[in-house]
Amino acid sequence: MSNNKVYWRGTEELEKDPAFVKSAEKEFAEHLPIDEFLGKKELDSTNTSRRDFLKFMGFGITAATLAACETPVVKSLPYVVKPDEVMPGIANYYASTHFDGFDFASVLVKTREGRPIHIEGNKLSKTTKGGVSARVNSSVLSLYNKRRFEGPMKEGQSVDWASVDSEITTLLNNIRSNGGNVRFLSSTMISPSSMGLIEEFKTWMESGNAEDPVMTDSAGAPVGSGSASVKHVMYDAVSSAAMIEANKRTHGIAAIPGYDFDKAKVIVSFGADFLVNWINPIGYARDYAKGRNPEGEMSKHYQFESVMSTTGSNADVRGAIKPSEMAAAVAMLGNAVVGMMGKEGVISASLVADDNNVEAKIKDAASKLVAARGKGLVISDSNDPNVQTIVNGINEMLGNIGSTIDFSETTNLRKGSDADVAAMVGEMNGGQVDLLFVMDADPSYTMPGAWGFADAMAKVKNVVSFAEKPDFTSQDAKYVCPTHHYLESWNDANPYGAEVTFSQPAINPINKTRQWQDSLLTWMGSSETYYDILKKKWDTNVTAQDDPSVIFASKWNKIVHDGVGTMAMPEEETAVEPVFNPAAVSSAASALTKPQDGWEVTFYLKAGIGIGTNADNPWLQELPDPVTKVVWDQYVTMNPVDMDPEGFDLNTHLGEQQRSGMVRITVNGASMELPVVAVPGQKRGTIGVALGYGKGYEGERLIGENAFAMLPVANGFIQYSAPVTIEKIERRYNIASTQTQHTMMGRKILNETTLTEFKGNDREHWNPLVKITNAYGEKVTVDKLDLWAEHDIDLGHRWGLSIDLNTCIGCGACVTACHSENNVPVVGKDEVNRTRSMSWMRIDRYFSSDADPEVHGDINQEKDYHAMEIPSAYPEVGFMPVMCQHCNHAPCETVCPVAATTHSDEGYNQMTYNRCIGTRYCANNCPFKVRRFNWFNYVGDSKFTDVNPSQDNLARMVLNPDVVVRSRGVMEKCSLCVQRVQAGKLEAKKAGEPVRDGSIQTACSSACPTNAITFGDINDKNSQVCSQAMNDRAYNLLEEIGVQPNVWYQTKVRNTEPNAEQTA
Amino acid sequence: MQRESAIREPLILGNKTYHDITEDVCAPVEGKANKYWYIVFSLSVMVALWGVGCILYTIGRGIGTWGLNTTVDWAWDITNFVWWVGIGHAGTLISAVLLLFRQKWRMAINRSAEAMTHLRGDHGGFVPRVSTWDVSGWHIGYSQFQTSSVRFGLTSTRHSSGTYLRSQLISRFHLCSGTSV
Repeated sequence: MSNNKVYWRGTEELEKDPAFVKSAEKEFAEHLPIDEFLGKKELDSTNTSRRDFLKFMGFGITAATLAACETPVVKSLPYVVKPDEVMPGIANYYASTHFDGFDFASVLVKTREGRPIHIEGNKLSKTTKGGVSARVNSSVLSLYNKRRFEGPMKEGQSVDWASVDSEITTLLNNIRSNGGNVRFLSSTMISPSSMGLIEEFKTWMESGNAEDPVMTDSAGAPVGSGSASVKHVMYDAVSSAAMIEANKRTHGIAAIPGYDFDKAKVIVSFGADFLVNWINPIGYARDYAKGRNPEGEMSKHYQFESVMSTTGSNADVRGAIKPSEMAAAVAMLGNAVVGMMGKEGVISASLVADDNNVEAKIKDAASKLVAARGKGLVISDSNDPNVQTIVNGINEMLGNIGSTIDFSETTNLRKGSDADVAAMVGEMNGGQVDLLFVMDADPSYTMPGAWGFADAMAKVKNVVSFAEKPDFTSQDAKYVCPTHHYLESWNDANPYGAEVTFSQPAINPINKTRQWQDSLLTWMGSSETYYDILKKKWDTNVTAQDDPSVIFASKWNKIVHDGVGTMAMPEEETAVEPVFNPAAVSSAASALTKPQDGWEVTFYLKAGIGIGTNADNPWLQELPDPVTKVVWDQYVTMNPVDMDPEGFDLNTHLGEQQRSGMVRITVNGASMELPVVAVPGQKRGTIGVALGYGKGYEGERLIGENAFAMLPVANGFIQYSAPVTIEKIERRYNIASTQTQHTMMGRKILNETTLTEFKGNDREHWNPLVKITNAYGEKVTVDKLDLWAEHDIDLGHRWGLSIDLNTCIGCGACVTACHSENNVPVVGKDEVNRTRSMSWMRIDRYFSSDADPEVHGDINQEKDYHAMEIPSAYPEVGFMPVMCQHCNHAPCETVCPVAATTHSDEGYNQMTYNRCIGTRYCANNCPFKVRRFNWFNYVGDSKFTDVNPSQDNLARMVLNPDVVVRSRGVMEKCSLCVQRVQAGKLEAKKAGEPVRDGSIQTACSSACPTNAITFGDINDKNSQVCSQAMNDRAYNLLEEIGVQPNVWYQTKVRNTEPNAEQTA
Repeated sequence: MQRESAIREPLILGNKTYHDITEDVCAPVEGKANKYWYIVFSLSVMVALWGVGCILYTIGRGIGTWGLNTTVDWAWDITNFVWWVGIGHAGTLISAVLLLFRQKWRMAINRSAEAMTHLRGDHGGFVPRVSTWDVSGWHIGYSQFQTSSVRFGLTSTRHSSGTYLRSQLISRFHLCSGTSV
């Protein structure tokens, strides 16, 4: 059926009435009765008028808004009687000394309103010379550690001091009457007064009990077991006993000499990580940096080691050797030196697997040493006295003893004796020890498992631990008499030569603790306090540094103020002259151990954790390891070549989604399961495992395992390497690393050159100015092309930083200093793994090597970025600290919608936290990626309760009141320590003079042990920072993008021969 | 001039009256919902509640929950925002195109398109607040006083989303008041 109907709505449509056609265009044909509706009378009679509705709505919205507001409650108490020296808002600095048995530093403690908040170096000290390390400046946080003992304990129960005192006094009097053996076990003790006190205690104990005299025979001598014996044994968790033994054998002095790294023109180190961990690293690093100036006579540094250490990564020439090849390598150096000096006495030595020209490198080192006779330095960290004896022999032959090695001023920082400790453990096992005092040490944790200290301790009737916080030893001790933190204590120290340094309390004791020296005095019934003893000793016995202004002050006040003084040395001690004994060297040569085949493990120390004393310090756990950049974890280091599919087939690239493989390592029957991290430069066929773990916590998670227990003992000396069996296990593990990108992708980021290149050519060859093509096709320097209007930067101050890449050793002291100064939150492993680390400073670590055409192709021709990521087995390393570059043409400033980041008149790129609304435009636009966003409320969110100290009421006391704690949703970044600059300007204003160059230091520049970071006013043409920024080595990071940073980098110069391909 | 439709197959069979058709069309809306409707509706409600929960969680903890990080500062939030901007554009565009071509049958499609645009308008106001942690909307007034605010970025985002919302409201108002657009 066909359809020819027409449908219409009405006749108007059918007839095409013009009125209809017009209205049909409208969507609503009929008029909508809105006006009629609103005009209805009934609306007026409804219960809710329009006005009421608005009122209710207005009230509702206001009430809901107000309910969301909360006035923060700030508790503060005023001083009832204000101490004279405390001025709210003004910091006081007190000189003190940090020594925990491992790390020594003479320090200045910054206190605000009675709270220590920051640690800086004390420039008056000859030992540490004003430097600090990450472990030292983080120690301020351990003062506020909530895990510390709150008072004395007996068998795990809290007790009061009176009852502990009476029990221990009774015990001591019993031993005095009836005899018995009392032992003190500590790490190296450098306090002359403490040692004197122990001597006094010994005399007191051994003199018998007057009220209850010892049974005597007719001649008056004690009979039976009625005499007490007191002995103090010192041991070092990382022992240098072999060095002391070797020095005794070769030079007749059982001590560690002073080393002058600034005088040394050739430094050859066999495994000694002297910039971060070896004996006095802060002082050594400062001296080492002095000798690394390429404009002057630059030292040449050779390092032979198996784990890529911080020191090794700074070496000019690094040879990777197996730990068992150490003796052979030292002997080969000896042979080469002997040969070149035309002397006799060659030792047979060879390496088992030389895959990186170690032999040639050793010969090269020998020729340089011989050429710089008397100005060389050979050191080793081996704990084998034979190796150390050969090292001494080489130094003696080269005439280094007496010039770079100084036996007249010896170091006291390592005095431990492995033999004494082993003997004492034997006594303990035999049940001969009646009372054991343990201080400044955790022997149950740090002693080799083979010694079985914990079992031996169970056989001692009474153990008194003076630990500050629970540790492996104190948990089994009968009594715990917690001692003060060093910032609560009086003490003295004699670290080196005649230098004596002092500790003074910077805060009242936080808990009911008592310094162990005072505990001893109490138990001895003495009326003196330790303070009295110190004052009596040093008011007469020390020469303060000469200063005519202190005529009226007592010497005591002067030395406590300065923190350092010079000790009057007893005559007979200074008289000892080192006399070389060649026979010792030849007998050591015949006893050298031979290199072994098979996998070996080196137990090494990390820059942050050290021996684990402060493994519960979150700043240190979050400090990236200088070489691996891994945080919060212990792991096995392995050469990436060994991890490839033909080897262990493990994942070499770490990232949030790329978890590391795990292995089980077994040493002498003890095994651990650890993740593996690829470390180029690790000797192939060896692995490294860090000591100091198994102690710290991230939340409830125990981090790592105790590797001290695996340490083998050879001939009575603790060894830090061992043969190992490794098997891959199927589990995988998340490792958090702050740097997952290791290549510069062919750009000039870390600019480096060689010394020959540097000396022989002008800067165009090794630090060319970046030029780009302008619209006319001309090559012009980048500052000629400008999109932005210039800031007025030539008037007034213009603060800037200069960072010398030649002296930056990558240690991380600046990173922790920045955390401490600027209240940077700790975010924990999981957040770092999501690349949300909050550190304002990072130290980028780049591996470099000569491109291998087979692996990398021709990198100059086509940029194969993927190939650039393939590391060589033994690369060179460079460190580059990166913080906000404070660009004069800052890309972040132009995109901020609320002007929260702006340019200051003094050159900063500054953040106004109150304005920031968290759009993150700035971070997206920052070419250096230095901006940090508060993704969470780090001071309140439960995820960070266990890691961020700012969430703990006690640890909050470490916060710097001059720096606001940033809230959620706010962008933050390096401020160039604007609060310090402001304080420095006010000081200068008060003094009525311009700001002196160097009087203002940022936290990082002040912490740097090598003075690699210089802060100052670029507009002051006489300032150090200005001269550095203008010199030929200076360049800006990513210069080609034209953002004109106020941070300059100084080209790194390696003292190596130029590579033929590079010069071509 | 009247043009008649060509004769074609009838579109509606079964001799339905207009009333029947109206009843058929309205039946799903006016009648009692069946089992399937309840299933689909409860799924939608669950998804909506899930969304509300996510938003509350985000407000409670922070946008760190979105998996952003220090080099990827915008990921989920910009994707989400751009998605809704796209929806907004689409709604407006469909609406505008149909209007410009005087399509008489556009009403039904317009309703959906405009609904999308409305939702997008709400969202445009909401997302920047959630993603910057400024739930109070404080930045909107604040940035007016800043010299640098007339630049790229959030301001223009806000202006753009605000413009959509306003133009849509105006057009609704015009339609509601019977004025032809």
